[in-house]
Amino acid sequence: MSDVILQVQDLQTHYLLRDGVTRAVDGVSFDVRRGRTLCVVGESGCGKSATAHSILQLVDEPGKIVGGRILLHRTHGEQAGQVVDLAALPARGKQMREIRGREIAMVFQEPMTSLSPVHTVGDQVMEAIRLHLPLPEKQIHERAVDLLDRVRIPNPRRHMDSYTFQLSGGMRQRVSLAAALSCEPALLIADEPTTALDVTTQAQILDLFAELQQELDMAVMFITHDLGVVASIADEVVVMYLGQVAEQTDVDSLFHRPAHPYTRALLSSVPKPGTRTRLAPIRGGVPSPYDRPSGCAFHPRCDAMMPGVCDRGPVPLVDLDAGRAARCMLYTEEVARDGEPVR
Amino acid sequence: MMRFVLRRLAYALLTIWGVSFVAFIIIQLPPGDFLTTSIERMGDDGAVGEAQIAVLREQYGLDQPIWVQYFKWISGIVLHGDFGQSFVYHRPVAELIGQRLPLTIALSIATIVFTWAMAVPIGIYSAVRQYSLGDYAVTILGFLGLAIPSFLVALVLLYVSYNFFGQDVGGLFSERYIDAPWSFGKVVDLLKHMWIPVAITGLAGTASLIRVMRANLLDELRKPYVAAARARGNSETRLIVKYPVRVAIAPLLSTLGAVLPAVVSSGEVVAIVLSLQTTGPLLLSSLQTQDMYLAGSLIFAVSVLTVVGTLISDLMLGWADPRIRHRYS
Amino acid sequence: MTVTIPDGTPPRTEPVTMSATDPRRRDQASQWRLVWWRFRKHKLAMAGAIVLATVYLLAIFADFVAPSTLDQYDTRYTYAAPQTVHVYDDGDWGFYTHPYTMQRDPDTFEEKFAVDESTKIALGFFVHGKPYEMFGFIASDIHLFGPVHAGDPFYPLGANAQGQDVLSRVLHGARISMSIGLIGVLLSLLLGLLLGGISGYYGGAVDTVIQRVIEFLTSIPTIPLWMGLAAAVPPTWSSVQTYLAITVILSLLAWTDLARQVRGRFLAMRHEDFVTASILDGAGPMRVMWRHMLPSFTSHIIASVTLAVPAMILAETTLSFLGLGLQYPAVSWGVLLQEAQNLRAITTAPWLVLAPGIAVVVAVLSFNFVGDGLRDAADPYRQ
Ligand SMILES: Nc1ncnc2c1ncn2[C@@H]1O[C@H](COP(=O)(O)OP(=O)(O)O)[C@@H](O)[C@H]1O
Ligand SMILES: [Mg+2]
Repeated sequence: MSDVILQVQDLQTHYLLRDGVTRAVDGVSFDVRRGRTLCVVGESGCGKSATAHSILQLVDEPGKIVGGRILLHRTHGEQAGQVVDLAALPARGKQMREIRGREIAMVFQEPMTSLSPVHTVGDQVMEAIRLHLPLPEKQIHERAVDLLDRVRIPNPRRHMDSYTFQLSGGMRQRVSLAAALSCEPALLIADEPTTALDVTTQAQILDLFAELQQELDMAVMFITHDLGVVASIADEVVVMYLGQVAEQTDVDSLFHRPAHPYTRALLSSVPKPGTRTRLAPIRGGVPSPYDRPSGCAFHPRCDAMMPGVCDRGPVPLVDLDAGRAARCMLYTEEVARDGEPVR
Repeated sequence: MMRFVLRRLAYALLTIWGVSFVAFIIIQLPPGDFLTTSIERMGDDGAVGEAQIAVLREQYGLDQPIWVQYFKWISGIVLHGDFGQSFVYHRPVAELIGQRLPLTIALSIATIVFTWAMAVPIGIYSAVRQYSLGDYAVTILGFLGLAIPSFLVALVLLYVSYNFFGQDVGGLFSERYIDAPWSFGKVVDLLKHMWIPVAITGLAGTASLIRVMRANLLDELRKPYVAAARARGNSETRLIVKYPVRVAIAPLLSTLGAVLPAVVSSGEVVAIVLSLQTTGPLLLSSLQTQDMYLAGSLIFAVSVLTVVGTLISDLMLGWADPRIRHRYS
Repeated sequence: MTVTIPDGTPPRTEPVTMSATDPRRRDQASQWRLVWWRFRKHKLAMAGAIVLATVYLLAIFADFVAPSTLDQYDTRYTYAAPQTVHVYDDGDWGFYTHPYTMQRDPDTFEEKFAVDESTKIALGFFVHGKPYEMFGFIASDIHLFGPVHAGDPFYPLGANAQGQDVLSRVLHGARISMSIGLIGVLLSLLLGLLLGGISGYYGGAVDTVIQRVIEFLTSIPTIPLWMGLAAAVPPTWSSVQTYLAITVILSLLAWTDLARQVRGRFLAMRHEDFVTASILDGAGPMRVMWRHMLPSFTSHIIASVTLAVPAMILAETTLSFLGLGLQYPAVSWGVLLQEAQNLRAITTAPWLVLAPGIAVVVAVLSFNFVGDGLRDAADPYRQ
């Protein structure tokens, strides 16, 4: 377990609104390991971004982390080797600031808006280095040029002085990536970094991610709603539904023996290469966070719904084999004993 | 950038040309031939001969069509700096304006500086501490600032300072400097007196600028690039000053074009109430006495001043915003 | 057909006939109801609306509401200070105030008013006072509130140089000040709709020219220009003529903002399906503009118009204050403030500034609140 970088345990992040409380993240747990990529998948609005923002304490008002622990195994600075609970740190404190950009870096979804329109590329790539590493200005500049080169920005030295509106979407995302990697963080969180890009650019950026991860031996938490992306880069996968973990699995099992009916539904709603099966969109829509269904949150849309079982009481996360787990009544002991088909 | 500058310059020239037209219309507006009125007035002094009237008629082209008169007037200004003659003061209009305009310019610039110096920090505070007690107080003061006409504030101030402090706040100089030539002491004296009219004139502008700054900044604070910068480990203060404030100020610069005419407008009125030695009181008295060349030229001069100020602010905006700087290069 | 109203109000059933025959009218009706519902939640805006309604009522019935008429004066009470209105506490109910006595300052020989606490002036509702003709044809001498015995001095907000009641003059002044804002803005709206509409509908060269004109008008300081134009109004004109002239002068420079907004809306809408559809139906440009495009943003226009009124009121007040707008014997808040322009008047009778000044501020504030509320109600998604 020495290569675990981050442990999220029973994280709860709520938005306290006037009309009620949105439980954006409702008891989520997972681990992220060095050199491995954890994909977080789920439909839009299921709390993926809220989870990511919670880790860096970036949750906007009126959101708040109300429970759980976020354990970071520190690798840099004076406290290297120690474990800190990020959820307990003050969001604006010095300790949190030292971790942001240094040990955990983040890439955002919108390449158009996640870079400042009035600062140069160089300025934004060099910023984290300036903040975290005691280097002379000249070396910082060289390092930034080198970073731009590594993310395959042509003519990096010239582009240091470019403004983001002069770059294409793919180029901007490369700049964001360079800025995030500038201090060689132990963990990179990427929140749907390729969603806003066209397919070709998307593939290039994904390759870049994989390559740089190898080079830097980073842990990557990659958020997406695209199962194609998952197939190409994931090691482990967390499937989220309405703020909870629906299924936790390795990438092979996800595609070959999905456990949760929600995962199966997700899989059959996207085309598989080489097959000609009919696509089946998931019935209904994601329920409003205000009136979350009782019992299993997915039961109104579930094909395997068992009346009297699934619509009552909370559903536990059941451990399956090989570190897999699913939050589904099908796998609880009572149901399994009664001879229902299990997997 | 060059194309941008040239385009702005062309617009400004076009506007100034339009203003000259409007000013000329104002000169012509009062019923009757203005020369008649002024000759009557000169007649009171008893020294106008037929010959002199004929000379004046010739000089202003009064017997010719209106566009010829306009042409004579405007070419006099452009070629010789000759704005005509004030019939009340018996002096060239250019000389009278020359005495007053610098103070109007100084007052306007000071007001703009004051407006910004107040509005930017207050706007930042208000946005960063949205819905705090201070934010509410600022909002209420902002509403009042927009609702109270500046001359009313001047009147009330006049009353308060006279009744409670026993002094007259009117004027821009202490007595011993009024007719003194310019000197370091006089400038210091001016600065000492200037802050009252500046604060009064800047009230409404400050209020509206605070609203703009607050709204802009609130917009910017929600943008992902702020979160991204925070995720890099910036401290809150550094973050806000470096990113959203910088972005939010740029559109503020472009409001200068809208703020400047308003500042000049209310500055003239405040100057009238506080009887300052700027163009305002002169404009009022010239209108009252139908000294139309003076009045029209004052309006022309003040408008040109505003147009030039707007031009400068546009150019500054172009220089400050890389999006504009690069688009036209 | 039911229309669900948010905020827990139960869904309301509408008559089937109407919704079945004219769906468009029903849409409009529910849109207005939504605007009203959102407006109602805006507390400041509601307060502003109530204040405005009151002020307009007072202005309309000023003859009746004001204790004295405009031609009433009494030079014995030059610059008399405001009286306090008391309520009878002994026995029966009623209002009274104290008369003035004159005292000469032994040092400066200045005459000063003092309150004569020994006698009382009885006040009451619906008292007989100076006769007036409301709207020119309702003759009466009944005033809402005033001294029971006509002729007793009553100056709740003090008196001016001629010994006229400031309260009555502020009430009468509301007529011009509050109406010039509305009429001026309506005129600007007409200009703004026409030019903004043409600009946004046709685009191209027409648009460019109109935009240049707007840019030109907004880049020069308005007050000096207004001053120049207003000074050209012949002093021989009657009050009504001057009033109209000033209104026209004000709107000449004030239509630009409205035109800009109308243009923006038209530009945005030009390519929407329902517009294209009606053009394909063979509707002429005027018809498309007035019947189809305009109704879809009426609520925004109303909000903008409301927000434009205060600037008008302030402009009239400023011009009249400078002596270039309306003039005595016309009465507007600006004219009243002009009477208070010199330092002597202000120091001896500050109420000459305060009474009309506060009236202006209250009116402008209320319009701003209502306008903000309307804008938020019309466009809840605008941040
Ligand atoms: N600023 C916010 N205010 C209120 N609710 C929010 C806010 N941001 C997110 N939420 C709520 O939190 C839930 C999760 O959102 P998010 O994490 O952004 O979803 P995802 O990234 O998976 O699409 C959503 O139901 C959304 O309504
Ligand atoms: Mg998201």
